[in-house]
Parts: sequence; structure tokens; C-alpha cells
Amino acid sequence: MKKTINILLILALGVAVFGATPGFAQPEKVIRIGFPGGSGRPLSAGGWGYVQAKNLFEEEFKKDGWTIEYNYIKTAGPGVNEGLANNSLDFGSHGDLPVLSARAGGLKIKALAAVRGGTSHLLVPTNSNIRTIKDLKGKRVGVNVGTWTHALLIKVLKDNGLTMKDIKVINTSGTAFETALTTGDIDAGFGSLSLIRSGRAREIWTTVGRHVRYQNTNTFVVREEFLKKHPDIVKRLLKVYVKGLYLASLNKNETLKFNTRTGTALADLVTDNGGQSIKYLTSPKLDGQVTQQYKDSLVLFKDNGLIRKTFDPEKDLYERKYLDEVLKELKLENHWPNYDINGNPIKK
Amino acid sequence: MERLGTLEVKNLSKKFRSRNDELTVLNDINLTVQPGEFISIIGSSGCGKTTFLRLVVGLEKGYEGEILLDGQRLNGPSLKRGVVFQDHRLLPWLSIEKNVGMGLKDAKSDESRKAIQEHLELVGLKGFEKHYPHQLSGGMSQRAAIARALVNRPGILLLDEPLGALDALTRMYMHQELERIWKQEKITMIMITHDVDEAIVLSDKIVVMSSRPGTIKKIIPVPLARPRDRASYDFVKIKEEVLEEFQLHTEHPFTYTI
Amino acid sequence: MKIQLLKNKLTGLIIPLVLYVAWDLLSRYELVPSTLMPPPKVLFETWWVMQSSGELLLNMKMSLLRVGAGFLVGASSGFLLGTAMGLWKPVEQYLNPVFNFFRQVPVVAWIPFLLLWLGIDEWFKIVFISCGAFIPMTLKTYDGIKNVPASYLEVVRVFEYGWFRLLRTVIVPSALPSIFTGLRLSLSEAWMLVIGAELVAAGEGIGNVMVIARRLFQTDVVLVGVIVIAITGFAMDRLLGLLETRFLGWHRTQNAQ
Repeated sequence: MKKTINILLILALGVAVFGATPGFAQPEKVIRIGFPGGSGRPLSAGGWGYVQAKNLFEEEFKKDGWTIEYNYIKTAGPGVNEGLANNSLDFGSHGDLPVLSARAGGLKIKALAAVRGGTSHLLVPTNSNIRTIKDLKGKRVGVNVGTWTHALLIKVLKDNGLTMKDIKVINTSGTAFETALTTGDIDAGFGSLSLIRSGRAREIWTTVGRHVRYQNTNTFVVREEFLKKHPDIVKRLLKVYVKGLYLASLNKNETLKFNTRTGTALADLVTDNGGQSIKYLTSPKLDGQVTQQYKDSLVLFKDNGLIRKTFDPEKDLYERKYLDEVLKELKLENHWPNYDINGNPIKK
Repeated sequence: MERLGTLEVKNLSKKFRSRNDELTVLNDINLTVQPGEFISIIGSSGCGKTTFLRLVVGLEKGYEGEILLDGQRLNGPSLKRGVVFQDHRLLPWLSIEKNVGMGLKDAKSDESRKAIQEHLELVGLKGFEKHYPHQLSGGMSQRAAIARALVNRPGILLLDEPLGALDALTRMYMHQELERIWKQEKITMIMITHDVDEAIVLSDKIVVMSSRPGTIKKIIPVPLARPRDRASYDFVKIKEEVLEEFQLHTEHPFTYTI
Repeated sequence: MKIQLLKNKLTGLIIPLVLYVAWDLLSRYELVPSTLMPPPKVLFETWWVMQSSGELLLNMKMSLLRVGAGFLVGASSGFLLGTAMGLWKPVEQYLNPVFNFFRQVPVVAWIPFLLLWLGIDEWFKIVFISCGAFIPMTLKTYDGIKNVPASYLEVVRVFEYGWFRLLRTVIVPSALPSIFTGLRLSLSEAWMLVIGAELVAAGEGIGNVMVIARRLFQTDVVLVGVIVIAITGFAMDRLLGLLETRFLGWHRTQNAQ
């Protein structure tokens, strides 16, 4: 009898502890959007940067008492996934590997729109004798595991007949990566142009000027539960977002200038994205370019053990209903063309 | 092998010094113990009887006066003096056999084996060679401790309340055993006790000590034939004589019982 | 006696069993999202996949090798220092304050410094683990030797023992239970720190598998890692426990009384 009481007591304690776990509660009237952070100021690039700088969401929702929270997650895309998983974020905008690995891992999210044009540069210390990708064999490569550059490294190695097993992966990111690269603790890794401009690194490969499949294609995702609960909010948010993208697409130079607010020099922005049309860079459409690339990525990720089981993104990820409605209402159905796998507009 | 063991204690004093205090524990002790004698030292707690014993064993250093064993001044502990403590102090990780052999220079030699065997027999622990201390009762452990103290044939055996922790019946049995061993080994024994009956049953002489500072109050001979009858008139008379010492010289009668 | 013993052991299984059932029910009815707490069935499947692909064994081997190296270096130097401090007064006077000063620093606090000195390769991990294994071993060896009962020392003083015999007959056996405790603490510390080291710096190893799994949103793999770590740690401790019973039977039974 006494024993039973003891067990019940312990169980009650357990329930109390687990029941009190924070992070399960949904705060009232706050829209929480997560971005991969860690570099630059708390502001995003591209169309997102425009929307943020002009406070478009804040203006839209002020009258209903909803507030907007932009969160820049230091642990990048994987961190955004964790935020979505434990209900501390409602929306996210992150890369192909984090989005696809999250969905493969059972995270209930829907992709509302595409966010294109992410670039990166494969860097080595200035005095390094690494010249080509093939030279990376046996070298220590800094990888921000789980982010799109992780996936990019796999693609690039594969092109050169190498796999991740041929290099030594060092899981590192942000300033730790930059320091490790300059001290020579790691031999190479993907980073931004600022390292080259400050003379701390040399580029051996870049996504710039290459096929779009090497670029990062993010998606703007929402937690399914939030979507079910507030479909109207999601739609209004998306509508404002698309309106912002439209405005951003009208003047490329101004948009790039806006994007210098992230802390990136205008020259670097021009180097990275100057060669691409502003329409391509701002298009929210989940078109062939996105779906085909994601399909290929899923195969690549499965082959490399980045995801353990695959899924059908058409069924489990994309939610085009809201974007289609918004485009129609804004009469922007034909503002952006659909792009094919090569990033070329499909002529009707 | 002939065993000597004349212990002479002359004008022995012992002081303990603390930072700014000096405590005289023993004052002017004079005692001679003849070979083969059984002496009991009895006294209330704090009379310095244990200090006295530790001085004789050599575990306590720094004293005034002289302690001579067969005419030689004592200098530290020695195999010539066996000691049995109140707690048996058998090493728990050694078998009884090995515990008993602890005092031997080379416990593996045939001679040593024989000595161990003999002494286990002497104390009645034959058959328990491979046992460990935790498998023995209190009385058996104390007998093993006695065998250990005797195995290298010391001239004198010092016993510090060896039966103090035992129950009354085991104790009486151990009195017989101790007497038998003493007779058989023809060894000098000095025993500290607070049990008057025990002292009378076993001793040739009883040394009564008084406290603060510890001095010898009286030495009472026990000229009774062995084995002694606790109910006999002479026994009771000696007991009264011993007890009287305490009643006369202590403020609170019977405080000698610890 | 035997039944009682069995009963005692089974009592320890009640809570895990209850937790298991609770976990199964919570995840089966989606009361906790499977992304936060995958159901047991999924874990078994994931475990099996990792096991049969050899991924688990390979990484466990790396981690265990590191633990082995770090434990060996750390525990043996801890044993030497503990013994030296316990036996020789001058060593104690010179080194004990220094040791006590440094042991106040949690081992993880050394990470930035160690990374700076040793980089992120194997050296860092092994030195880090040995630092952790060193401390409990030193403490417990020192304790064990310092706490040899004075009563036993008195006994052997009468027997005029030399240094070596004193050490062999009294000091080492008396300190052994404490030394064994040191070994067990040291090993479990080494095992915790190898995971810590692998979380910080990459390379193969079970900790690293978990870091990568976390980044790739493979909660099931992370949890499999947790369970494998727990089981391995438990098994290693039991193994040392068995050795202890084997060599220190007297101590166990004595304490049981």
C-alpha cells in the first residue's frame, strides 16, 4: 500500500515537471518569424529585407493589435526548425536542406512561397595551396551542418568525384568559422565575400554565375497548426509580403541599396546577385525551378544520409492555395513568370 | 625458547601538552611485573591506565622516568611485546590465517605455518584458517587477535580491555580461555579492565589506579587457587577490598563503570 | 535472501517501466509531437538501421577509444598523484593546495583554453577527457590513503613493518575501496566528457552523430544516442562494479553487515 502511494507520488511529480514545460503555450496575437541569423545585422536580404525595412507587416496588423516578431536564430536553419518544433516560432524562411530535413523528420510545416538567390563562396586561407575542389581531399572543411551550404558542399564534391567521406568535416559556423579559417584550424569552407575583401581568405569556387541549382532556394514556411488556427492571418501576411516583393521588383538598384542595411557592402551585393534579374530574385512562386530542385535535393540528401526517409513535397510541403489567391487579388498573376529548372522564364 | 619478561616501571610520569595547558596524565608510577605474572590494572575512566599500557607497548612517546623490559629501556614498539586491543583490529581483507601470521617475518616458511597453526589451535580457531574477520563472532575475533599477538612469542602480552566489547556469557568463557592460554604459554600478561570480577578471576595482582593525575593507589595481591570460584568467601572478600578503594577515593561511587 | 535480492533489483525497474509506458502512450496518441519525442517503436527502428549499417558501432568505437585513452592517462596520473600526496608529506604540502585550487574549475571551463592550445583534433579530446578523469581519481586515491584507520597502523607498528610491507599489507588494501570508487567516478566522468568533447569539436563519435542529427532534425537519432550513451555508461560502471566485488569481496560483505 505504502509502495503504491510512493509510486503515485513519483508519477505525480513527473507529471508536474513535464506539465510545466514551457514552450508549449501559444502567445496571443504575436506573429513570430524566424530567420537563419548569425551574419549581418538583424535584417534579411532580398525581398524580405524590403518588407522588413518598410515595416509592411507592422502597418498591416497594427489595427488588430497583432505584433510582429522577427527572430534571427544563431544556429541558422536547423535552429529555425527547432523553434518551429517547440512552438516558439510560427513562420520561418530558410534553406532547402533545413526545410526538407525538417519535413522528413516529421515537422508539420507548409511552404507558402519561394525565396530565391542565395549565394556563397568556397574560401581557403590566403596562403593556402588549395586551388581546386579536388585539392580538398583529406582536408579539414568547416561545415555549418544542416544548412544549405552543407548541401552545397555535397553537390560540389560530387561534381568532382568526391564525397563527404573524403574530407574531414568540422562542424562550425559564424564567427567561429571565420576565426578557424584565418588561424588555419580549418582548411576551407563556405563563407561570404567580406572575408575576401578583408584579405583574410581566397575564393576557389563560387555559386555566382553558375547554374541556379547551386544557389540557395529558401522557402517561406508556416507551422501547420498556426495555419489551421489562423488561415486569415496567414493570407493577409502573405498578401502584404507579395505586395512588398512587387515593390522590390520594380527597382533593382534601390532594392540592393536597401539590402546594404544587412551590413553587406553594395559592391558585394552586386557581385553576388547583380547578374540576375530582379524578377527572378523576388519571385515567390513555387514553380518548376523550386520543385525540380527540391526533388533532386531529396534524392541527393537521401543518398548522403542527410534524411532518413523521403516524402512527396507536392503532398506534404507545398501549400499554393494562399499564394494563388493573393496573386489573383493583387492582379499580379503574370507579374512574375514561372521559371524552369535552369532558372529561365517559361514562355506561355 | 625461554621467555623472559620482567617489566620494571620506575618513577614514570607522562604529561600531555596542549597549546597553553599541561595535563599530567600519569604521576610517579612504580611497578614491577615478574615473568609469568598476570597483572590487572583497574581504575575509573581517565585514570591513565590506557596511556600506561600504550607507553609500555611503545605507541606513546615521551615520558619521564623509566620503563625497562628485562633491564632494557624501551624504545618504540617491538615484537617482544604483543598487544591485544579492545577492538580486535583484525585486517578485514586478510584471512584469519594471514591475520595471525601478520607478526611473522616470513609468513610463508614452514616454521611460520607451524606457528600459525599452533596458535590457531591454542585459541581454539582450528578450521577457521580461510575465514575472513567479518565471518567470525566478536569472541572468535578477539581470540584471533590474541593468537596474532602471541604468534611471534613475545615475552609479555598487553591487553587493553580485550573483553570489554563482549557479552557477559562470552566473557566468562573467554576468562577460562585466557587463563588456559596464559598457563600454557607461561607468558607475562598485563590486562587493563574495568571489570572487578574479571580482574580477580585472572590476576595474580590487581593494580588499582586513581585519577587526575593517574597514580597507583594500591596493589592488591590475589592469593587464591585457580580456577577461582566467584562465589567463594575469599573471592567476595577481595572484591569488597577492591571496591572499597573506589568508594573511598571517588566523589561519586561506582563511576568506574564506563 | 535470494528472493529479497531479486525483489530489490526489480523495484529499480518499476519507474523505468512506468516511464516507458507513459512515453509510449504520450507519443502514440500524439499528446507530445513526435518531433519532440519520437515513439519507442520509431527509436527501435532507427536504432536497428544505425546498428545494421555499422554507423553506430563505428562511432561508438571512436568514442570508446577516446574514453579509453583519456581514462588511462587521467586515472593513472591521478592514481600516482593521489598516492604521492597520501604517502609523502612534502608532496602533499607542495601539491595539495595547487590541486585543490585547480579542481575548483569545472573541466568544461577549460574548453576555450584547450582549443586554443591543442586545436580541435584528437589531442584536445583526449587531454580534455584525461583532465576530467584525473580529478576524482586523485581525490579518491588520496582520500583512501589518508583515511587508513590509525588503529590498523598501530597494529603494524608493533610488528615493526618496513615500508613495502606496510604498503602492501595495510595501506593499499585499506585504500582500495576508495581507489575503486575513484576509478568508477573517473570512468563515468570520462564517458560524459567524451560526449562533451564531441559536441564541441567534430570527428567521428557518438556525440558527433548526435550533433549532426540535431542539425538535420533527426530527433530519433539524437534520442537513440542518448539511450546508447546511458546503456554504455551503465554497463561500464557495472563492469567495474563486478571487478570491485571480485577483488573487494571482504569490503562489500563487511559493509553489508
